[in-house]
Amino acid sequence: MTLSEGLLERAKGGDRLAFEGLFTPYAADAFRLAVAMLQCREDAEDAVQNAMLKAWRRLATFRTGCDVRPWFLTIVANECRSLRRGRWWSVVRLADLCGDGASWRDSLPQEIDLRRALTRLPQDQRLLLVLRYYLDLPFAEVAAIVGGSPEAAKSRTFRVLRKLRRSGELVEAAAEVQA
Amino acid sequence: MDERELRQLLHSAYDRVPPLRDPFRRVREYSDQPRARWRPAMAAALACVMGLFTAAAVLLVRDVRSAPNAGIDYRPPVAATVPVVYTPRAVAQTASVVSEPPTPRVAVLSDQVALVSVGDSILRASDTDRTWLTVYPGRQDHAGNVRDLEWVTRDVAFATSNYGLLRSDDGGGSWRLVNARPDLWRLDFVSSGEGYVVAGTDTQGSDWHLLRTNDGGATFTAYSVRLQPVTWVQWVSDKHAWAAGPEGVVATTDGGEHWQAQLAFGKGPFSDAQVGFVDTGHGFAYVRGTTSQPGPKLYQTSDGGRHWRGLAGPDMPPGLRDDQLVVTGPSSLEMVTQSAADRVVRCTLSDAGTGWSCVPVGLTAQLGAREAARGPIRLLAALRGDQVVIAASTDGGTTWSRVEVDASPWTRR
Repeated sequence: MTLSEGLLERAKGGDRLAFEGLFTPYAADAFRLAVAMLQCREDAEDAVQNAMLKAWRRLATFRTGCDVRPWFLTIVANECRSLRRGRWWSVVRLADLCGDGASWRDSLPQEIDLRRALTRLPQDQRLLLVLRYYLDLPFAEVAAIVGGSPEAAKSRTFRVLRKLRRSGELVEAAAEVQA
Repeated sequence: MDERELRQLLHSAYDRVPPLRDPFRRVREYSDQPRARWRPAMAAALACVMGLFTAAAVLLVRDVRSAPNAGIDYRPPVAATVPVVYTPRAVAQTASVVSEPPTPRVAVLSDQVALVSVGDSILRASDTDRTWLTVYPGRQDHAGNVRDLEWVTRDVAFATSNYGLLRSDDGGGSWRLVNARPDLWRLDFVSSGEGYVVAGTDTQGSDWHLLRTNDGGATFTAYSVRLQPVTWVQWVSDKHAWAAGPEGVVATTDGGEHWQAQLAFGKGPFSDAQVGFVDTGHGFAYVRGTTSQPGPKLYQTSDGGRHWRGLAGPDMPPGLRDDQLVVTGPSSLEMVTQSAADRVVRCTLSDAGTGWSCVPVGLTAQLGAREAARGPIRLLAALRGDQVVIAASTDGGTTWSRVEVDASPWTRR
């Protein structure tokens, strides 16, 4: 039995410290995913906290031998969807009203362009880009999170990337980053 | 832009966000709660109580049905309008209306559902994406204007306009004209069938009076509360209601059988009196002076109106117009008003009349602003020229988010 399998079994038995030990390595990825999906630190924190709680409560249904990361990131992605879908007020935030201060307010213009371009994408398309190009997940894991085969995930991701390329402001932003 | 550039851009944009400090906080809070061994017993007890309530309700309904007047004090219609249901297409074919300046109106049902009207178009917050959807486009000539907007149940909502009463039965998703009276102003429906509407032909309210409907707005009958004119009515329970006019406030505690004067505003001239109660005991009354003297008057009661305490005076925010009372608690209220320079100002009174706090919300609104409150949620719509700004808060108005909507299709006349 590996260390993570041991932690998993103990966590399934209700050992919270084992749960924390098992999920700590994935918390950073979960938070990065939520920030990129929700464009808002506070909402992202909310989504990850909720996802952690759901994972804790549903851990008994998790099949031993499967990979924990895609299972957990699927919960995080669903939480982000729920946050966006559930409340009419949460989707009309302005960037300067949502964030934690300097780190967001000091954004470069090209970063603002990127956030704007991502925001315009439907959530499922945004999720593909974030999983592949921000979290650097292999397509097999991307597919496990968004559903479908790895080939389908790959083809959909490239389609979204082509769509994004047509966004003029983002091309300019990329050029500025290169410069 | 290639994949490498997109990676760089994503990392550059998001890696600076400070990391999550304690991702397991909610898990700890949850698991540290004492184990609820009593929950099954509690559920069983709850089921028993609900069963008893159901049985009592069945017995009560039987009893009411056996009563001679079926439990409803029904008054025969007098001078009722013909109940005709109009589709939006038919609305455009109704006779031309007297054009009114477009104003915004707001109504909050929950943190997921809200309505905003601009002119005679109605927008609904979509719970599926980030946009407000136009659920009612209004008349083709957009000469109409929604004057009041109200949720009655999760499904039923009403709106008065200068060409009649609009009704939605699907949670605000679609609207139909149920009555083509052009003289309806403020409304207060107590159920999807029974409601009260302030009506009158004078835009200043000098002839406003109350109408009552028992059929969801298809027909109306005159309803007397021994006050004339009447500019506001609010039912708090099936027995308790208050009505206000420039003369003062009247109230009923027996479902409308008897109305009694509770408060006289004194020497006017006054207009646009309002009442706002959060329960059968706690409420406010407000009236505006039509000239600079007398100024606005504000009163508070905590015993259902038996005693009213005047709060007006030097503490009242001066120089405001188009203000509307939004009562948020037993001793707290808010007013969204406009200053002389069209700046939207939000005034809150949180400590039972001892202090106003007025803060500009950073918006201008040549064509009016309105706020609605439900719990900690605040929704504010401000109309300026061809644009409506919808601002929302979930923390009682401390922080706001906002979206700007092009309103030019509805505000051009």
